[in-house]
Amino acid sequence: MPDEAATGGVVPVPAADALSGPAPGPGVPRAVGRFLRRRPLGALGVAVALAMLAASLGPPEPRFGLPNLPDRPLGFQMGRPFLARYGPEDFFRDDSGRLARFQPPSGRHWLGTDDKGRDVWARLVWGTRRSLFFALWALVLATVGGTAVGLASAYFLGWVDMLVQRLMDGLQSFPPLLVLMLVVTLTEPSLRVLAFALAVVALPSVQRVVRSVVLAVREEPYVLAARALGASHLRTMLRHVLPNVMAPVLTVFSVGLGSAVLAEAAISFVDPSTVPQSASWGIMLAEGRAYMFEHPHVVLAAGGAIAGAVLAFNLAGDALRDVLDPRLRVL
Amino acid sequence: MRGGVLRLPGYEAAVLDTLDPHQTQFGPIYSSHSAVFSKVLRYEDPLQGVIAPDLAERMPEVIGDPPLEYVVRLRPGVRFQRPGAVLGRSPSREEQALGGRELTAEDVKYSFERQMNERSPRWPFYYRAYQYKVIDSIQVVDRYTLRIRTREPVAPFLHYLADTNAFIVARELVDAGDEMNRQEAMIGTGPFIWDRLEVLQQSRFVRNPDWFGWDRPELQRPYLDGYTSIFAFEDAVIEAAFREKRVDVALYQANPQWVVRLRQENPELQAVDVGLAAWVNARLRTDRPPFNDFRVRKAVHLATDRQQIIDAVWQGYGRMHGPVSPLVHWALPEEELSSLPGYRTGRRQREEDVAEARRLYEAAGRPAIEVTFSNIPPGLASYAPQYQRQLQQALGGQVEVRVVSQNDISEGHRQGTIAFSFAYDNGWIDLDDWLYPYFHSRGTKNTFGLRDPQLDSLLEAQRREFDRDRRRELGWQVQRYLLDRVLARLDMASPVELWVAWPYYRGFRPLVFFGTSYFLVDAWLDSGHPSFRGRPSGG
Repeated sequence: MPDEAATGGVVPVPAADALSGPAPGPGVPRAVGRFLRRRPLGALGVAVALAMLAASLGPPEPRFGLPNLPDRPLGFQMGRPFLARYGPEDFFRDDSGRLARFQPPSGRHWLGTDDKGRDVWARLVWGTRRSLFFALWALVLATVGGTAVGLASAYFLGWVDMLVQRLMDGLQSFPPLLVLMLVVTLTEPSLRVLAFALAVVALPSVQRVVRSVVLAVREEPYVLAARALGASHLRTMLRHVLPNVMAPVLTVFSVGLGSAVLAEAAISFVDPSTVPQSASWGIMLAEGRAYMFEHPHVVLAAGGAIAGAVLAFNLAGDALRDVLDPRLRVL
Repeated sequence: MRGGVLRLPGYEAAVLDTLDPHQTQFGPIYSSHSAVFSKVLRYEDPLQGVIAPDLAERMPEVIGDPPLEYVVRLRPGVRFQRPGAVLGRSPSREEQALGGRELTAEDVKYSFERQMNERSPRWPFYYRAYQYKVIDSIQVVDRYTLRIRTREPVAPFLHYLADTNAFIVARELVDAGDEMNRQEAMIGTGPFIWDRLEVLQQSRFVRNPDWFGWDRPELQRPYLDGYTSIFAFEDAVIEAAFREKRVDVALYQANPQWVVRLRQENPELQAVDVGLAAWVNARLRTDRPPFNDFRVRKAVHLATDRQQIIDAVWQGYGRMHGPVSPLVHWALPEEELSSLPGYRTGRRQREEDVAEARRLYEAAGRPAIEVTFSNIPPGLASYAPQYQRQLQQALGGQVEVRVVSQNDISEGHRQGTIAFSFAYDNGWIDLDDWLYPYFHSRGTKNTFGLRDPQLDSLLEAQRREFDRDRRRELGWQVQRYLLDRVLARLDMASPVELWVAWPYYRGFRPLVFFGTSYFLVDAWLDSGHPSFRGRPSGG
């Protein structure tokens, strides 16, 4: 039995080709059914995350380019989200021609309007795209980078490990929010840059989890056997070590999404001028705060969205960890 | 304790450009200067244009018809401050250099000539040089007397001596690079001593016990022991501080509703609604595409919904703004302004303006437009996407916005790299300051690339006209010309501030213009007033 502390609480699982053959699964529908019954909160988290994804999507438009946030997260322009009836900056006027500010919820404006006569629901949905894809971008970068660094560091050990870990210690010694504020202050307002900065800040946490798992797995007999049979370092790492790392990495990824959503909201809230002024939950919160006593619906909507998203990602992450951890597996 | 230490929210603790009194453009900084430094004359009532002596013993003797010479007689015995002695600190190098010496006519001469010196390495930063370039010669007659001769008759010359930035500084405080951008150099002859500047936190001032007291030294003003400007721009922070009496006066930043509610809850509060001289404008480069095409400038002018700016940025508490602030009597009559295209608010008239804007824009070839917004105050920056949407809707073209720091805006203006900026400006008292430096070919704030001989002659004509009514009429001509044929600076709107002050704050007077902090000499805190109870002590 490997030392639990060294593995970060995760028991290494041999790669599929090292076993005699895959165990027969219960079937996807049955597994989903069990998941729903036994992990209802996790299922709720996954459902909310999927709902967010659905809310953020819009029809693809034939305009391509380098991926960018918030409207070209996948390399092509996305149109108005399916669930938004208006643009994020569309403003409405009342009968006298003045801005229709602070209108109550109605059939036309499901969550009312804000201080600039804009539809709160529309901004919430547009903000979902920004928050979600920002979080996905940052976490994908952090996870890929952290996994590569942690894998190499623990596999090679020695001076490579020592150097990489001290670098990671250095990175972790800076408060994340401070680093992000510094980056957005020194650069042009850009969510792409901010996502990259967040990835750098989150990378040490991911690599530590990966490293702890790899430290145990690299001593497993099947890894030693692969090396003895002449497998290269790269093949050994990718084929025999990496599969064991995927479960904790997925858990870190899903829980990290919540933190990334919070980070984007925090930066937008603290200094909206340092990020692009598109609809954002953090900006909505910052703007709505000035009127929170007279017109609380704006902060309630934005705050609720932030809290709901973070809770959903955390619940989903917890459930994922339970499902993927063999010792906690109950499915 | 005399009159106590007044605490007020403000931007005085922010330094956006420089501490140099002659080189800063940032209103809150020269508000601080106005408490520390004196001028030859001062405004007693800026809205009515009432000027009174400051360092001068009496109003200058005006010689010639039309006037070409001014004899200024200074008060004897006016001494530079001694912050070390008053604050119990060891004196700085600058204070030692001054040694609390008497202010003389040489200091006035130096302060004026400093801003006329085109060989200075800081010459581009003397934004108010246009006021001093009219001077032909300054003769020091004796220790307290100057004879100033202008090149030609200049109607606003007394205003120049009284303007919000016309500070008299000592030569000893200016370094070899012609700068005095140091806290230690902030030593003047004004009613308050600048004790401490904690950037983005607070700026503290204490009473200058040696202040000369204008015409009534026996009053021993300032009554206050000092005042502290606390850096605060969040409504929630200001409201909480005011309710707890950690500040004695307050005004809204983005949400006026808490002030309205506070007034309803506490009818005894002192309440004043008054416009602010600072205003929002857009500056367009008229010498390069796309704004060298008058049709594009006019299209933006007509497409801009000024009422929407007032509603979105100040929640309806604002006034539309022509080339001159509606606060001062030089402005175009409000009924005339509100009937002009771009300023009309009727639904049908707005539709006409927008239709004309689109027609002009399309005739000009639908060029792409980029608007650069200042990031301060936050309420203006947050309006940027909505302005973008509004222009997009009205013009049907490509409009981009970006938000940058105020410093970047100033630098961009200086280097000509910003084609279309959208930002606050400070606001001025005299007609000349609203127009001449911006629109004259040689104007120090002409960042538009504007060269218009006809406009130049109109601007020069208003300078030569000493009759106030006729000068105002000339000012209206200039404003009409600007709106009909220039449209380089698109003046948008200015806020109406809702002030509240606790009743114990005596002599409360809202500061409408930057650079008028010397009004605080008449303020004091009445510790015997019932409302004073519960006010936390400390500076």
